[in-house]
Amino acid sequence: MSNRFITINTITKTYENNAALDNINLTLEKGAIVSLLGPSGCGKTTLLRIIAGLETSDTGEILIEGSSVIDLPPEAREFGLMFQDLVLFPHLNVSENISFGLEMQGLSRKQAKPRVDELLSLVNLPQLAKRKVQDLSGGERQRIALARALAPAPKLLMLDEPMGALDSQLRQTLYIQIRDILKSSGITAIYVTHDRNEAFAVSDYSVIMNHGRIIQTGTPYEIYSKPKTTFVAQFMGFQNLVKVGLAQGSPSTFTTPFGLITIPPEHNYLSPGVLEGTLIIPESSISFTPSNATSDSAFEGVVSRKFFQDGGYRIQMSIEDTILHFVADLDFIYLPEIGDPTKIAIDWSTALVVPHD
Amino acid sequence: MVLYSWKFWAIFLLLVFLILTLGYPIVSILSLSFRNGFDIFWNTVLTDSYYLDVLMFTTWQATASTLLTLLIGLPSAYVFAHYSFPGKRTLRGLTTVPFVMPPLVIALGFVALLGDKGLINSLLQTTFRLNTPPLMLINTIYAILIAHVMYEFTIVVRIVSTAWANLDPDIENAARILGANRWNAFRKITLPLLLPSIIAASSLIFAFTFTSFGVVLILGGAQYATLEVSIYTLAAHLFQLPAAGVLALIQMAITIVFMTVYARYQQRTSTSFNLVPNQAVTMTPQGKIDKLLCLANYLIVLIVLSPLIALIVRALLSNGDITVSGFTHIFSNQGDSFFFVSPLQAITNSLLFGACTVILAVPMGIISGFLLGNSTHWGKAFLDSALMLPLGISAVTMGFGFLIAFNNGIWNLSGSWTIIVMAHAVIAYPFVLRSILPVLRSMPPSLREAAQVLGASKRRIFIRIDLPILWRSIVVGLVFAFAVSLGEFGATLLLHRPEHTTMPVAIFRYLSQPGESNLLQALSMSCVLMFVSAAGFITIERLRFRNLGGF
Repeated sequence: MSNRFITINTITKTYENNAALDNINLTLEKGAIVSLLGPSGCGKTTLLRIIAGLETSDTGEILIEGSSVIDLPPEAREFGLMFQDLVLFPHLNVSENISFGLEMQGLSRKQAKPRVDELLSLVNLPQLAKRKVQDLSGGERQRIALARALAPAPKLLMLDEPMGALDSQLRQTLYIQIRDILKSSGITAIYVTHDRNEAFAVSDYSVIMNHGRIIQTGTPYEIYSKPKTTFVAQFMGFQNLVKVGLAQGSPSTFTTPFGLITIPPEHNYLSPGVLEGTLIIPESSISFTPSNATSDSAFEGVVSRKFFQDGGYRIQMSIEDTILHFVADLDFIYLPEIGDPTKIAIDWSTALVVPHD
Repeated sequence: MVLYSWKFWAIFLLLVFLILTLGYPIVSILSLSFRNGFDIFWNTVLTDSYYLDVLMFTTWQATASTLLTLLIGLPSAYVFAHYSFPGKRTLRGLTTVPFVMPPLVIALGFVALLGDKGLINSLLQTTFRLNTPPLMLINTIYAILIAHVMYEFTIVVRIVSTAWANLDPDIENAARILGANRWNAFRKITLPLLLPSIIAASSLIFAFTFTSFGVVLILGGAQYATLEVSIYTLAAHLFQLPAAGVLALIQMAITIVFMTVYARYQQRTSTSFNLVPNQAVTMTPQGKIDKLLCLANYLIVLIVLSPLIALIVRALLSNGDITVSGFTHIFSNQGDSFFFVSPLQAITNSLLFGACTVILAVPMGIISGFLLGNSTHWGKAFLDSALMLPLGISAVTMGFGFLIAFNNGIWNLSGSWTIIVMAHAVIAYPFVLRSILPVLRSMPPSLREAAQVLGASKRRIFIRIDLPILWRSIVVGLVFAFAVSLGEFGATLLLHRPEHTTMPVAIFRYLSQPGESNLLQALSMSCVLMFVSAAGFITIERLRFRNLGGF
């Protein structure tokens, strides 16, 4: 119990018969960075706003170090929030924006200055102190917004899709920097995003949400190696998802479009009594194979698409009305062209079967 | 060739219009004033303590009016910005009606409500069994201030509520999460961001109340003289035209300053940061406080409109009986020897003048709008305020200028129908300009560029891109111009012949004759004026693009 810094209990929120949040439970240790991951509309922003006090939940409790804050107004909760569109104060310059939270704590601008300078160094922008916010670039505004949120040393910092307005190259650079900044401040943080790579780079572990519910919690590796549902698998980027049924009298043999396939029993994640699921074929288990290969792991199909990406050829192959995606091994003797009938081999030892949603 | 481009001809037309209706009359006034040199300037005016007192009084009453209007208008602006409640659009449309009413109608309404025999006094007298009316407001400064608030209330509501509704609601939220309570968030974040719109509204109200004429004359009485009243007295009664000209010049200079400030800050509000769609900001009232605020707003607007409501009541009551005799008389076709025209003819005249005004003012307003377009430096703001000069110069001065400008030789238009249309058009076209300018400015240039790249000529772009986007704001400006023309009194009074009698002039004539039936007819005609204006303004509320335009 002593490591529960922030506890969120049974938060429910309904908008006009629409359950925006359904029984959300979450605990955070001090100093942890947790990501809320999910598609648009899954309720992550709503949850954030409820924790911040900008909206009220229908039920539930929010506790910091055991004491409840649910009845406190936003200004009394000592939380920080970095908004999706940053919301910098346009009539104040950079240092005035950063010192705002400190002034609200009773410090004068002069007293706040050391902390403001400290934060400007932390985000690597000490030269921008007097700049007007309208004159900042996207990346600069984002870092200033972060500095402003960190300045009053909030107990919990929430970041709502802070990379939204930035181009992807800038994003990659920045979210690694954000993790470093957060860790060096020792701050507890909730990071909301729809981008799994961003979530995995920034946070310690992730909470995956869909339709107002928490679906799965875990480290990136845990979620990737054992996705709980088809939704999570899709969200993790698995593209080879095939509906299959459990074959009678076997713990892990399934009827699939590729015939009867057996996977390692520990990879069958269906509950007992459940007879249908989704077969996940990791891309790394698929490769081209010589056309004279015969085995029950070799399948014939037609290449439908081929394009170069990140150092390799991505292949889409059509087999038995199913499309499989994988990356071609460049060491293979020849690469087929689009329309060529080809054989591929699938290593079933890494395949998984997970429940439908 | 530049000589034959549309742009060239459009600007040429605008220049001709402005020179004829604005430049030439003003120059005539000035040359008349200074034909004997600048001595008049020093001796008569700047050293005469009487005129300095007048200037002081004009300034202080304008300041007081502005502050009072802000006090009452800001809470209302808050409600209009943040809530959607039943009758919102109608209510907002109604607040504009006093703005276009001739001062006579306002005075009538004032008297009907707060006069010695008005509704309030009658009520108080019967309730508390008093012998004399307790509220003696006519001919006091309070009457002037109250009437000014009635007139200018809509300016605060429109300008400030638009700016408020366009503020990102998260900006106050960001402040609150950083530790600011509601009051601090308002004071340190919202208020500074609202300031440009408040300054714009204040400048405009100050300019209007500074040049106030009819209200001061009728409701204040002889002891209160503003600059405008002095100009009128000097010109029309004392025939000291040079002195009148000097005062007019001083007034124009002061007004231009305030109009420039208004124009500059108006630009700042329409290019405001963090623009969000209104739907994100307005909500239906949820809790008790919300509902209370909306109710209070209804009350405020009702109070502001109460003199006009009292006028309607009075028009239907005669000696305690309900009557429509006033109405039936004005819609009959009886010729009236005093007028030479029947009341019905006066109504028709007003409508015709209105139509002609619109035909002239709308194109001029559109051209001015495109001319001013998209720039935010002080130079253009000055041009903006110069184009808006008619708003700042009172109608009396305008009419006076027309009189002396067009009274001889080839320019002898005096007493003609044309001159009235010209006067109405120059007074009305700034409203067209103000309606389309915000919409024009919020159009991204990439729209026109996209059309150009797809092969559209400038003319095509105007017809297929600009007009469809602008048409709503053009209609708003059109209705405004029409309403302004309907209610125009000062210039029309000076310039008309009896056969050109308009509704405001007819009201004036009715009132200059004693008797209950004349009073009833004046009241009834006032009601018609009010209803037509109200109908126009309520209709255009549905057409306003993001609530921009009008001011």
